[in-house]
Amino acid sequence: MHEANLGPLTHDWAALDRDLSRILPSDALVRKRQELLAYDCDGLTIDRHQPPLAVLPRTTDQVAATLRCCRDHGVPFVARGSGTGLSGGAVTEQEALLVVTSRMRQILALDLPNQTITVQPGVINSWVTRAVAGEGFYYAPDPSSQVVCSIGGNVAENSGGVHCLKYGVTSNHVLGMEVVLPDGSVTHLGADLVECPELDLRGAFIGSEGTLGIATAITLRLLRAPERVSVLLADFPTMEAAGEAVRLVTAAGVLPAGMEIMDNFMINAVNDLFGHDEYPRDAAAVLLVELDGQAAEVAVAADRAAQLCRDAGARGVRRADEAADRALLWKGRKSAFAAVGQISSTYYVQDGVVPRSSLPQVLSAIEDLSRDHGLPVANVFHAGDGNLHPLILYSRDEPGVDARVKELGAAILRECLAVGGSITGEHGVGADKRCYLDWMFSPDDLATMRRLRLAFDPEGLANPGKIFPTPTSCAEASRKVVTLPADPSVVAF
Amino acid sequence: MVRELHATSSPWIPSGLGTRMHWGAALQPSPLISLRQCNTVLEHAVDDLTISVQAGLSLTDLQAALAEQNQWLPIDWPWGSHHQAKTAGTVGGLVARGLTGGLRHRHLGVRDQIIGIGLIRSDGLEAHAGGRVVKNVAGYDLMRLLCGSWGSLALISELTLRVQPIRPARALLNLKGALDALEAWRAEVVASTLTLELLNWQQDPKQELGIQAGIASVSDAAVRDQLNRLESLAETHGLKAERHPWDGPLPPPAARPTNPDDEDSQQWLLRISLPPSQAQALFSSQEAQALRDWHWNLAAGAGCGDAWSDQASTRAQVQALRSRVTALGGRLSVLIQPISQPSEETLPAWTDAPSRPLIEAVKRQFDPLQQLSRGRLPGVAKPVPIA
Repeated sequence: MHEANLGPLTHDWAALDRDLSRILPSDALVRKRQELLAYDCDGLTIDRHQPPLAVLPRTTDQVAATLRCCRDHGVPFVARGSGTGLSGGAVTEQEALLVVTSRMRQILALDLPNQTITVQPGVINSWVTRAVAGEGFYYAPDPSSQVVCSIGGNVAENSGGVHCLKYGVTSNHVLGMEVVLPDGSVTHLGADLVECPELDLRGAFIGSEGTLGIATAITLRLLRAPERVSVLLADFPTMEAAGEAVRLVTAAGVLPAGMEIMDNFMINAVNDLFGHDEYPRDAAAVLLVELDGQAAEVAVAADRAAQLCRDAGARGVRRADEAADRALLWKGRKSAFAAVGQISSTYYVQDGVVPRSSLPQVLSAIEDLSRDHGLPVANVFHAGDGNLHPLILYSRDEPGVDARVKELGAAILRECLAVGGSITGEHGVGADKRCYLDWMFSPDDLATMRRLRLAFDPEGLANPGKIFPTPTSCAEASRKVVTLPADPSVVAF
Repeated sequence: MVRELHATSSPWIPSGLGTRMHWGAALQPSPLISLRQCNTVLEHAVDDLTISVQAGLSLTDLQAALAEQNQWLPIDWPWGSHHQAKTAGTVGGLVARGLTGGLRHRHLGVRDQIIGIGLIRSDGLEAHAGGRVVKNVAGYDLMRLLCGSWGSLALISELTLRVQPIRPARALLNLKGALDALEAWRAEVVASTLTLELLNWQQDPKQELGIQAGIASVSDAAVRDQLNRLESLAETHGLKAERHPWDGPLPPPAARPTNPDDEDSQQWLLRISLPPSQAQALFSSQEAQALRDWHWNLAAGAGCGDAWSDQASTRAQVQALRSRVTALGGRLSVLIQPISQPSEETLPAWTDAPSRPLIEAVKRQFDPLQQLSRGRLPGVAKPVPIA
């Protein structure tokens, strides 16, 4: 009991366990080593850290009592939803209690006249849409892991998705939250209204990666499902032409719900997976454009976007208006990870962002870096908002490959930053990228952000060590030889 | 300058053009630091639909710079202004207040347009958050923290905003009729697949309550189609619908420019936010009926907007309205109220938020000497006075 791969434990876990047992039902505590193994990593399997103890509360009161207990014992905690994150954010790197919200799965309130729904944090993203689809509504943020990932996790990471180009990310869709602060007190951020006359701590909390507290009830904005959806698939002889199509479509005021690009490597991987040529094998890129909204507008917008793709040099443009036909065009994009998994059982997913106009330049640089590092890179990405997801393929049997993979990932991020981009568009900083955060922000920037943390969590109990670089953690990271076993079953972007 | 003020623990007030210093909670008199001279466009990345500006840039100059590239920032002119720089204020002021109008229906709020921010802390240290790309989750979201902070946490020095291409086709539709019928029409429209640009409850003393709908699209045919469907729906509810041209892309201002120096003014300006389905209950309430000669302009799909009057109304009437709004699940802020007599207590601009202790903790972290905008902290009815 209370073993972990964290080295010698310094806190009195037996005492914490005893106190937690008084406030939580017996089945809410996970102590057995083999059961705790389920929580030793998230979707990023680089590092594994088994927690000494995990709890699975069902209510806000139980979360609050748990955090008060942690405070009394001086024990940090890490919140975890479904564990699909890709930045190592929901892992207990340091000695900490794991608070798993996966049993907090109730829909607390549904207010269709005002188009809101209030849910517990463990509710799965796609369940929200399922709960209201019959009435013609849906929840817009749709990370690719939406059938698995939780709303609480989405709040922590400020998750996006394919359709966030038009509809925005989680922060654009959360109206209010009940939050348990690190000292165990309960408060409410926002007033479940679109505009709230108070400091926007709701906005500051979203995307804070579990370092400010735990959201225990979240009120979301629901949208009316669109009247018409059309999907275009265009193939291009060069990546520059595909990038130009993205630019033209965007500049024309045709705001698509999503725009996705796959490069030649990925096209061929998908064709190989399908066993037939779904896409032209010699295409440098295929671009998917989804348009939705009022039928008359979508009809005009789809015609215009198709023409703009041709103007940019598209060799062919396919269009689908019916659900089954649209699914066919999307099938390759949605199968991209599985396709890469057929080629290489191990790969590393990067998550950089560049200005849309820099896409061709940065993709060309990635190609050069791939060659220089001797590691193939497949690209599938959210072109409309410049969010790249290069997949670095490697064989874990190759000596020294882990360090090269890490170096290549870092080099890609440097290219993103060189054109004014970001080190993460939707996966978060977590543990994986904290040593890159000071590439993007000055010490003064980071010190200012830490002031927010101090207001919420003066004792530093919530998800310690995440997001912010520290000399210790980053020195360790630079020395460490890591293993990067990607799990093709985890598709979370 | 800020460092020197910090060294002497001196209070000061962040400011732009100073057009709305009298809004919100009364400020303890202190020197202003105005960014009116910091008013340049730093970078307009036309193809990326982003623009970086100094916070002292006037809104009119921002919209004019964008319009040259057929782009715009989809945020209404602040209340009491239009396209004149003198009354519209600065981009920094817009963000510090964080208030939007009817365009929120489609484009969301000010907070949703900011992708990067530069700030000067109370100790004079410069810091940044966010960046220049439209999708970015690196670091804490200080953009949202500062948006709507009313100068209480830091001086906003630079902003990067996401902008949009101007849609070329647009039209307005004004509806009049019984309140029940208007609400039935509104509820059906917001739950429909129609994609309106704006949807506002509107009333002024000379005209009965009505709704104004705005449509904008890449296509004239799409605008006509939506107009036809809106009119057809209006007919089924017995409403009168009237089309109007819309020069746009910004909607016409709802209120005439005001003179903040008019000390005899009886001016009231209230900011209301409530669940949108409760607007009908608010309008029909005894408290709102008592203020029938007021102007009202509320985003009908979002539930937020302004109510104002330059006629004499009592604080008791406004307090009663605040209680009604609160009972309906909303919040009411008092942005402007008449100058009070010595014996008269002013209404607090904001009521206490449930997170007041946390709001005060954030204030202490960002402004430990309580130098900035003394007397004003959103979400706190009466900030602790400082000697």
